[in-house]
Amino acid sequence: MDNLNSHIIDQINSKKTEGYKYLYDNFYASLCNFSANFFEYKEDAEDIVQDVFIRIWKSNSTFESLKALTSFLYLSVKNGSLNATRNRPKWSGNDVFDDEDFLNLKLDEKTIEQLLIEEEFYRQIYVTINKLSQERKEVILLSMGGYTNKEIADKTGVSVNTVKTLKLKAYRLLRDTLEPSALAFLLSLMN
Amino acid sequence: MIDFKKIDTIVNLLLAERERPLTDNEKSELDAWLKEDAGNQIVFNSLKKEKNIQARLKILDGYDKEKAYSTFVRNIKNERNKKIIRFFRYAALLIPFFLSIYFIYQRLSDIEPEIEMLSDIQPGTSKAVLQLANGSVIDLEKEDKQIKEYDGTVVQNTQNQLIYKPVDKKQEPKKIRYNLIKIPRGGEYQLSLSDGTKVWLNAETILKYPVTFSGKTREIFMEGEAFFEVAKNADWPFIVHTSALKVNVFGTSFNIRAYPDEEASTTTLVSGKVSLIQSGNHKEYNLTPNDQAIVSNLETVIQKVNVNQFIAWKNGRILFEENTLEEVFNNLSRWYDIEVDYTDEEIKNLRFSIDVRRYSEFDELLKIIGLTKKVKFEINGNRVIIKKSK
Repeated sequence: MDNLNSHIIDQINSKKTEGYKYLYDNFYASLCNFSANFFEYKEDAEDIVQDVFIRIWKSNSTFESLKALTSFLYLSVKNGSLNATRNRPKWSGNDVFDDEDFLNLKLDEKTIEQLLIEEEFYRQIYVTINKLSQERKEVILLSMGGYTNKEIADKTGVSVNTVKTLKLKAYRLLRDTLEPSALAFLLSLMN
Repeated sequence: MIDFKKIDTIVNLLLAERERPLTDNEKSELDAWLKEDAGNQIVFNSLKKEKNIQARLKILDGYDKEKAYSTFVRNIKNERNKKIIRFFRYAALLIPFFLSIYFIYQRLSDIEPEIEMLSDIQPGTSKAVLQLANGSVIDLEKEDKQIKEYDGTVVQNTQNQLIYKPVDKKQEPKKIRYNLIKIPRGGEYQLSLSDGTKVWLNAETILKYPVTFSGKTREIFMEGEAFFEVAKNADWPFIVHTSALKVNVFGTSFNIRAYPDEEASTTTLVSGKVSLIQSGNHKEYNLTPNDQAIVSNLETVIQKVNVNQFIAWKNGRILFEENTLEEVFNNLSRWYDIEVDYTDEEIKNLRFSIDVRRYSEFDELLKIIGLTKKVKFEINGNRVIIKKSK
């Protein structure tokens, strides 16, 4: 896991597109959804995130770890979103901005910290599940929806045994790739 | 300031807490956070509900990360090109010679598309066969201008369109007799039904319809792809049946794509109003203009779309916007009657935008796709092999 992470960070720091593909696959949707808290239309949120990624690619700054990058991404998206909602003509990436009163007004009583905890919690699950094949993903999603093996089999048109096998295979794949805590969570879903 | 270390810790505790009892230390850490703010307890409770997870994953899937990534790549390529051009501008001050070499090289690589071909694959044409109510079959490409149904109805055939004349209400037949029109791969045809409804039929499509509509409803059956302009009549419901769904039409234009070899069927509403009933579970969905319903075994998704892309075929165009290579060739294979093979799974997901006339030579399309230098083609009869470009 750590090796993989530092490999990705190298790729991002050295402006390789593979590293950025990783960012899109693993962060784009969650960052957009986080930013969407500040906007009426999700297109605005998507513009903000796109802008942040392009700025990272253009900038000369490098990141030490994936954790540092994760924080940077959330922070940049927050700042970008806030500045855009205040109709600022231009967002300068280094101006860090922290007006909790304003935030609380905008965000229906949830603090920025609570929003970030939610987003990051769901993101880890999202990333994990997206590593599965489409078929296994469907089975896991249905099992999350509270369906039994029998019901899942009916819905997807495969046998109950296949559902069990798919769950098991999904579990095996996850065991190799996951962070321990996210894996524990998924295991609890599969039982 | 936002404390990301704390956020990370809490998220990890929340994920761990689901599966195993937390240690005393972990517990007190989580409790401290819960007590910090009344809202934290609310967040905690909502994260515990699995239904919420499922719902959130659906929302996240709603963001098109592939499309965003290709926009990003386009953007940074432009930046890179700008840098190269800048470099050559300076170089030109010193060595104009190298500059010209560079441009000559650029030119050459532009006009040399990576296609190993010339194919004799042709676009589709107007062709169809018609099966009359008594079972006899007529090839409309070769047939005369007028076809007589045995009940006396005369059908006009204009080599690309079949026209059923409206019938006086009093003469309406008691028994409904059906005709069946079948469009082969590489074909298309138009149809004007006895009530004035117009239907455009795409390649590999079958439509079954009454020679003369009668009774309380106008009902037809289809498989494949068709665009409908239904003649308005509020008292006479128009219903389209496919294997997966039933569409009730209230005077309107829309496209249905329901090929048996494709997983989902797609209904795209251009104007008016339709309601759609899924065959499996009898669920009903109402569509308003620019809505698209995608129905598969697993679920039904309704989304807003730019309808132009989905009805381009009937307006004589081939139009793709950021579609995957696989989607593009699934469509083209019906129209050009070709078989497609990929040497490499991953190229199926490359995205392309194409806008050309539907009656373009197949080679012209390959040239356009080849210019992107992402893939190469090899043609063998009507078999197209797509390879990754190096």
